[in-house]
Amino acid sequence: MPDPGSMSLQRFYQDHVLDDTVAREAGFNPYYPLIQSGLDDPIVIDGKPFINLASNNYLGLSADIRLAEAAIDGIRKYGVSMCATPVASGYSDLFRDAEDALSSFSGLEASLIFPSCYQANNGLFKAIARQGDLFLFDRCAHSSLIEGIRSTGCDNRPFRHNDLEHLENILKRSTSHQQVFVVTESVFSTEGVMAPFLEMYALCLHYGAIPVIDDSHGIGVIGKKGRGILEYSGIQDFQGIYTASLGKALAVNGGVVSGKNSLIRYLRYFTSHLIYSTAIMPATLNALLRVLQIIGDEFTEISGRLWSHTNRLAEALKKAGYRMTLSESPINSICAGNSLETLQMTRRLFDAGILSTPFIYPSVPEENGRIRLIAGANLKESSIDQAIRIFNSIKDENS
Amino acid sequence: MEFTSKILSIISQDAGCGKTIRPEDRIVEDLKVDSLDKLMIIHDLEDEFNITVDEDDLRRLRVVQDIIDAVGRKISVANA
Repeated sequence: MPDPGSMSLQRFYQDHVLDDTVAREAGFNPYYPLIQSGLDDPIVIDGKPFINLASNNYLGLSADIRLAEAAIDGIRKYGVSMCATPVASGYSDLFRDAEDALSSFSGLEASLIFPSCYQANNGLFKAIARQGDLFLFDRCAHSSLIEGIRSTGCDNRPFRHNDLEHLENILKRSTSHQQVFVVTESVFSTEGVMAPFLEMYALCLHYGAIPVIDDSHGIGVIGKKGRGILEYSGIQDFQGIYTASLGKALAVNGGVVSGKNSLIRYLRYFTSHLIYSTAIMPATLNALLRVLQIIGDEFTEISGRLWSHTNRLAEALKKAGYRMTLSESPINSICAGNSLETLQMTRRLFDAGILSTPFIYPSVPEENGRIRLIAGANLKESSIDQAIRIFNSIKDENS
Repeated sequence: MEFTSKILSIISQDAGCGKTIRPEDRIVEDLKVDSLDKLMIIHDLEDEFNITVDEDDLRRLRVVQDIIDAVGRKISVANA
């Protein structure tokens, strides 16, 4: 007779096997590509050069020597790790300076830096929610926001993507809740579409709701000085909560939550994801301070390159007959069909030397596969030329 | 707008990207309704018809006509 213990173990391991049918059908798994270089142009995968249209390295500063030097300086003074959570002995003067610099950059009173934006978004909601609260969120909000909201156990309700009328109808009816929060993103990462945030903010103020905006794909990218959604929308004295990833245009890693001084002071003591995580590395904090200086000094020039690459690629793709999303940001996103078709297209690009980011079900609906292309400011003109040649030749082969 | 059209319109806007929805459409297989779509549909039906719908009520339903019938029953009970 089989041992019940071994049966149970066997069942557990049988239940936790990856279903990679689509990848096998496409003959290609685009996830976890093994990168053998920094984010240079080209990057290296399997010993071969690739044009990198996959990273969120919008300003192309990830491999900038000035950031590397700042990171090394951070290590020289503070070592590799503070080996403690911020609330214990992990909070250095460097940590405080980086928080202050981020607050000034975004135009907010105070900030908290988390080891990742996923943790920031997940931790935030549990810390601010009270029984009887309601969370309204955009249907296409990032999973870190939705998971964070759901972890509160409060009532929650999606509203139609970027639909102000739907949101207002819900707000009108939501009078029986203690506090209502409206959660969205500035730039939606799969399609590059932006939220009508100024209008949403006005609705929130009108109905007494607290807006929560995730500016991960906006910070360092949108606004005249690259300061993100609040600058872009002309919002001053923001009455809501701001979160962002530091691992995209800001080219380091971590996440930030910013807002009113009193709230941030409260969150400093009541956000488990912050107070039970080892403090972010000093190298990262010093590089963050440096990148904010660089953006302050050079944004116009760097952003000009980013948009020039983005626009050249967008025009070429449209001319070649690719169906594109209506992006308003430096994200070019190809409507690539169902999951299998999306992976097959990603494979053709990969085989031709382009690294891209595919989104398939369940990240997007089954028929709405997307291939995201971000042409960072560090790419050479010749790489954009080469990428356009590749896209054209793939289109020619298909037709 | 009549009762059935209202329901079709809600499903179309919440889960069908504005496409025409037919009563015989299968909720999961044809419309690819996921858990967030479902949540949005439930709340919008509740608002529109002043009824209460549990997620379990929708879980058992297979095609759009089943939703129309279920909402009709809820309204009858509420008015009884």
